[in-house]
Amino acid sequence: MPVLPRLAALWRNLVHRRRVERDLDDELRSTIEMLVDAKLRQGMRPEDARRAAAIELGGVTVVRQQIREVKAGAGLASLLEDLRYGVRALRRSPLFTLTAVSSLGVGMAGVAVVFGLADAYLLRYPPGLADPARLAEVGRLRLAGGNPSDDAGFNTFSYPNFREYRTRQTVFDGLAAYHLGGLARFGLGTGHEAVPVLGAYVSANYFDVLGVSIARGRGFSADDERLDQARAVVVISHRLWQTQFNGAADVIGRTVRLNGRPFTVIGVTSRDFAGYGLEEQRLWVPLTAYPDGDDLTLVASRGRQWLMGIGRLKPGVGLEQARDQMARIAADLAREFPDDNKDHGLGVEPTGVLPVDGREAVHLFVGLLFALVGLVMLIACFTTAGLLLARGVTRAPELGLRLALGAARARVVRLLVIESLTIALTGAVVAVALAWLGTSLLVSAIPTAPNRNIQLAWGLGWRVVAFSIGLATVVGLVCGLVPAWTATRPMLASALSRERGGSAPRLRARAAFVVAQVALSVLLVVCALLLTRSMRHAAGIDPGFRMDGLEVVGIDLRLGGYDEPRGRILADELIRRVESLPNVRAAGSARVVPLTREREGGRFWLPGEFGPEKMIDGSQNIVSRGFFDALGLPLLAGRQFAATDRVGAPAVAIVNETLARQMWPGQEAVGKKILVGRSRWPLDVVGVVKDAKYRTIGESPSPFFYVPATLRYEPVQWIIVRPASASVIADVRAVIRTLDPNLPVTRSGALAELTAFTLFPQRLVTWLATIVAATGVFLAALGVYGIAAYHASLRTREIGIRVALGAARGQAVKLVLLQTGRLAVVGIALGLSAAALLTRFLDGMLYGVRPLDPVSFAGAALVLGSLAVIAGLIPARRAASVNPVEALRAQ
Amino acid sequence: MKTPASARATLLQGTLDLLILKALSTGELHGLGVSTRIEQLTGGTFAPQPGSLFPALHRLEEAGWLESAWDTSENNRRAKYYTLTKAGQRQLGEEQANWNRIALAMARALEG
Repeated sequence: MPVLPRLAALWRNLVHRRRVERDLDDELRSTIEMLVDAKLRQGMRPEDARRAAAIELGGVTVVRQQIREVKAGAGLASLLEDLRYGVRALRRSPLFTLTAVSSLGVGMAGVAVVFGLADAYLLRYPPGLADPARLAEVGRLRLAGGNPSDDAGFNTFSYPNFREYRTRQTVFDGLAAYHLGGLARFGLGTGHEAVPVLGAYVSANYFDVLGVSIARGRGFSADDERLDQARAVVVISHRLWQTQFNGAADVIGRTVRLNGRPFTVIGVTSRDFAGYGLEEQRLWVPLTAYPDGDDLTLVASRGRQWLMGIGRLKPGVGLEQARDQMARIAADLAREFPDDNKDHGLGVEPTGVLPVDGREAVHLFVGLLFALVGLVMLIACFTTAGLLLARGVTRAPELGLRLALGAARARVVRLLVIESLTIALTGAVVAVALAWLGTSLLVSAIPTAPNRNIQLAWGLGWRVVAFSIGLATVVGLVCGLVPAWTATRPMLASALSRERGGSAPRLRARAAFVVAQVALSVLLVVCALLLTRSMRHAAGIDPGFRMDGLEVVGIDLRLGGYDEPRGRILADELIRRVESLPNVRAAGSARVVPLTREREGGRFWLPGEFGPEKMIDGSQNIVSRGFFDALGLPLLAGRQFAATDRVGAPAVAIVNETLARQMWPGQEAVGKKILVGRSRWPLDVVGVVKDAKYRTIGESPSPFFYVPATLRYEPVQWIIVRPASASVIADVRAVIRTLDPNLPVTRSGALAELTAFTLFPQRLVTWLATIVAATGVFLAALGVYGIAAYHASLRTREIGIRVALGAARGQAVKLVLLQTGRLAVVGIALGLSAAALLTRFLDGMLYGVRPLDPVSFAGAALVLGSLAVIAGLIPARRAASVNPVEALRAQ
Repeated sequence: MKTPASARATLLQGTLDLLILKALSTGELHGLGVSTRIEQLTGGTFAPQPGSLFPALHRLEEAGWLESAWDTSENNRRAKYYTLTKAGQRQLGEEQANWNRIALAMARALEG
């Protein structure tokens, strides 16, 4: 068929719809009149002529519909018509619309929030990279019998190994190496006060491999990565350039101090690049510019594993091919340098925001969140489907009329589905608004990691909006189809009569929806109760010391360019001055702040037992004298550390109760010896302190010992202060500033604030589960109420008769209650069984509560049971209080 | 064509289009006129019902083969008259040739 006239017709039909319709009406009318004329001429009586004409034409409405359907854009026009009709119908019943839209909106909002989180951290690449899909990470794997072991990890490798990888591989266009974390924390001095800055050590080809554009100056050249002649050059991020150099145009060529050593700024990266990795990096230095200066053991040693790899796959090379080759190279190196490379392979993984070895845990966590919000969305769907079913019943006469007048069933189903789609899409608007709000609340609630420079923050992008629209479409179709199908079941006679009884299948569908709602809500309430009880349990756990009021200030002496002798002097002086501050009750320093998930391993042996099987896997902390007083950790036996515990004097340790009990049951621990670490450093036990919680609040007691800071120097130190009244953080910072303006404070705050991070995942899931469960229960109660009211209205007549015949009203109430009660019981039973199967997936998140905790299960059953009774009682009582005469007359 | 009733029932869409174009080839007609003309042309074998005739007229018009305009009928009624466009005349020629080919082939097949 020719295209041009067809397009013209489409335009006419859609834009001048009224005129086209009027024209059509006129044509049909004139045809009828002509037919009548003809009949009259044949000698028919006028009435007969009219009837005969109408019969011959075959029904004006039907013919008009047939003509409309052949016209261009018929589908679109009728769709618009249905949409208009749907919107009008929804406006006519605002309560129904509001309930349906808000429940779907709330249901979808949760999913949208979690999708936003997943989108930001699981589906995207770090910004500023060219064609990131072609990049792959390279890391070292532990092997067991030639294959990756169960805890293969994805770890760092040494610089000499990296040089071998780089020259032997042929699968990457370039292979770069970088070091993040521990060593790459810098104290940046630009003249005035020093600031802590996270950076990275990178190979010279780092920017080239990642495809990062350098906005000013230059990136690194091969000459910058030389072992014999280390070059102190630095490339800074756009952000650092703006914040620390005020975007100065002449920044290239300036000299800055990194950990006290002079470096020349040679380049500024493009605005969107902030390093490869989860932590934002602000400067990059060559691998060989290791700031312990001329000490190049780190880069020279094959035994020091400190680098991660990233490469750009050659065109046409897949991950598998790269894996094969890197595994072969690793096997060759294991043969050539067995001392350092035995039982180690190489892995190649796709790039992403999250570090490779953390991805699985995050996937599980996000999966759990999705499960929770997905459940509430399902409940919302069931609620809406139930509402639509009920609406279908009340609209039965209207729909019946449409069907009787010859509307195709598919057409009426389409009309109803368009209605549910309209509801769902309006719900999506609500969902996106709520998700935006929810995300900002969530982001502001996330605490900062105490020892990492990670600020989790994300916004809602267009992908979330697109996702919500897609979701709403699916939800609208799913919620709308079943009710639409049952509502248009051809039962013309009964629908057209005034009888409003729902058919058996329709009732069954509604009952099934309510049962499903109740079951899902029970599941959610069980989860919420389990998590809440676990959180309460966790909050009730005694950490072993007084946490409230404690404040911490962190420093890293390396960032000030300190070596051990100078660092010791400064640390001693610092603690002395802090202790003498007027508002300080007690102060001490520690290598590790308790309850921040950090752990300093402390393997030790008992004297005379040297074999690896006799090793005891303990933990330790390196603390100053005032530490125990500051924490309020009581000494149970022996003495505290003293000023006399110094290098040269006998080395000493204080152990915890658990260690003392496990090593020397029934004996005095003070006076015994432990041998610590690979060097079997002998320490005399001089005291025993009470057990405490060290890494997390949920851990069980384990052997732990303390070593005095005077014996073992640690550049990373946390000053732990118990103030007498108000906060002393500002005072401590001032002390540090007066001692050395070039030494930055890495982090400071109340201990409770820092430890908040460790429990955040649990807390988040608990909040979410509680909100989600409350929403679910509310929606389920609505569903139960709806079906109870409906049952009651169906049986009004029967109840009327019963009451008229002398039945007690209580009995009538019982009648209705029994019906809803049955549904609730089935739902609760199903929900509890599902919970029994599923709650073990929460196990890792629970403290002191078992996944099959009877209290939570009984509580959930009770909550839903009593809600069902209340929701059923209201309509039941109303039905029973009806005047029997009216009830009989009503139908 | 000995059983007109069954022939009427199986009026193919293509056939109807061809008959409409043919009916209009001698001059403009309104809807009912087209119907009567087809009845005459086919000797009463085909008498398209309005339910199929009017949709077909509108379809052909949207395809650009017919044009319509309001005019006064022989009985002084306002009626919508259809005429063949240039494209319609060409289409008639093509369909006619096509039909003849098919009819010839069918006749040959049924004789053999």
